[in-house]
Amino acid sequence: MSAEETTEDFDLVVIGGGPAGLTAARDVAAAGGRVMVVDENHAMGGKLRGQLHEDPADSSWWKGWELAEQAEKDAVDAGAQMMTDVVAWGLEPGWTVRLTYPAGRTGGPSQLTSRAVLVATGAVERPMPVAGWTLPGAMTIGAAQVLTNIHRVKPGHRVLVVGMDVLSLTIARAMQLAGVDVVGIVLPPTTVEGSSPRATLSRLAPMAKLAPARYMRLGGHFLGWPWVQALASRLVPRTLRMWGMPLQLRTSLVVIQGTDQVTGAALVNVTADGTPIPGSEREVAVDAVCLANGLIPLNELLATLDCSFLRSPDLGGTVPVHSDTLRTQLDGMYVAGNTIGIESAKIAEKQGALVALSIIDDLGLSSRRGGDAAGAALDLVGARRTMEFQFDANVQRGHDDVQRAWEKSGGRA
Amino acid sequence: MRITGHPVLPDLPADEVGFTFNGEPYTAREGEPVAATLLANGVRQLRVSPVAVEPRGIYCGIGHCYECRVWLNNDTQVRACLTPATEGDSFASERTEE
Ligand SMILES: Cc1cc2nc3c(=O)[nH]c(=O)nc-3n(C[C@H](O)[C@H](O)[C@H](O)COP(=O)(O)OP(=O)(O)OC[C@H]3O[C@@H](n4cnc5c(N)ncnc54)[C@H](O)[C@@H]3O)c2cc1C
Ligand code: FES
Repeated sequence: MSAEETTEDFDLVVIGGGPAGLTAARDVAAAGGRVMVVDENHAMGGKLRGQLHEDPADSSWWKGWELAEQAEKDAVDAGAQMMTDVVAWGLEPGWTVRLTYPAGRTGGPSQLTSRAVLVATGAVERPMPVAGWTLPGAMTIGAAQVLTNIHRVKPGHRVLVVGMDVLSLTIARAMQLAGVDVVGIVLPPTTVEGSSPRATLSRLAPMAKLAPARYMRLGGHFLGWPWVQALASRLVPRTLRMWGMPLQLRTSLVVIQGTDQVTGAALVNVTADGTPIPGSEREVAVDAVCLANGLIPLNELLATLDCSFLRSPDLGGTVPVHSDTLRTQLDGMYVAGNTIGIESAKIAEKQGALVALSIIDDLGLSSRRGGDAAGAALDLVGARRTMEFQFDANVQRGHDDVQRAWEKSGGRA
Repeated sequence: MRITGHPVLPDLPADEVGFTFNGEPYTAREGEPVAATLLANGVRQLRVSPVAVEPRGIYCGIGHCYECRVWLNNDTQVRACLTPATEGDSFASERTEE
């Protein structure tokens, strides 16, 4: 593509080449649509690329990197086009997608026009502002995942993980597999909302009930009986071991230490309600601290458009109101994946397949796959029920709230 | 800090792309962002914040926070966590006047 050529026209532009976007691109292209996927990364696959966990369903490894390569290949084989290293920064009804090339060297069109646009921009991490968090060596848990599983560089030799959720535990395990010494997994500072031992356990507890047999097997030794017992009891144990890594359920981070880079962290014991216990302060020497404070749906591209949003803690943040078949209130604008709620890659992929059915239908493309979106929407609800893990146990409740908001708003304008 | 002999993932190709950061030479794996190459060589500090004059390095690792920005070939600011080096690139924490 030459720099002078500034506009290209498509049936569908997909913003975000994660599992949701790539799956939708594959299906719409297979139905004969002219599809372009844009992603700001150098490689397609989104957050899927960095994922590595043992699949509790059959103890095989969930290798995101391979799955991402396959998803990209399938979409390309179906006829979808791909552009990497490009950021979509604006949307104008009609639709025009404005592009910029931040690497400063990959010239391409400055805008794409399209009959339909799918926003599949995924999620980002909620920041955890704590003293010392700007020091080199202090990073998000997601950065640690990307470094370890994609770039294969250790985030540190001795690492402290701060924050306990499904993601942080999974990534701690991935670091350990890669030879990193994970010296501890502790709670966020008491100033961070919902970080007390009791609140943390109560957030994790419903997940153990979700699909108990499978959940307990998550990652093999991840959730043994002591853990489940701890979840069930009112007492918060001091430490549980997970693959030999200490999960310090009654310890909070105080500050991250260092001058030029991280050299350690100050910790303190806390009561079950999160009150620091005087005299229990201590220091641990580490060269990296990984902060986990949950994920938030990324959908700021839609913020300037004339559609309504709903705030849902169950979904991780604010999401655009949409139908259960993933249509937004705007003609030709669709959403899928973590941009509408924090869930696993398997669900994002299913949402991609579902939204493709809606797009194929609305654009009048013929689908070789056939299928009805309403049926697929119901399947999605079923899939959520049997998922081996959820980021939030109440995610379906969040989607139900969105559905009610959609119906109340009268749907598509 | 490179991870080799991973129990589950296959090894990656060897380093082959030469670039400099603040004048020092480094060798990157093809397609790897410069921040990863630098960390593999023990370099965490990517720049100094202009106002507070504090060191900054990788924070989000996915292109969202812009904490990792560095100058590429003295003319563009890029995110070190996303931008791979090409042969002969020079990256720097600060822009230098010519
Ligand atoms: C740090 C992190 C770690 C995670 N780890 C796991 C895990 O281990 N297991 C699991 O099941 N789930 C994990 N998730 C959840 C993850 O979001 C889903 O598994 C899944 O990847 C969501 O797919 P998606 O297609 O919705 O979005 P993503 O996979 O996030 O893909 C969206 C893509 O869009 C790109 N993008 C965003 N905005 C723009 C723009 N304006 N222009 C161009 N490109 C853009 C993003 O860079 C990204 O590549 C993680 C999420 C995060 C944020
Ligand atoms: S570390 Fe956040 S943008 Fe690079």
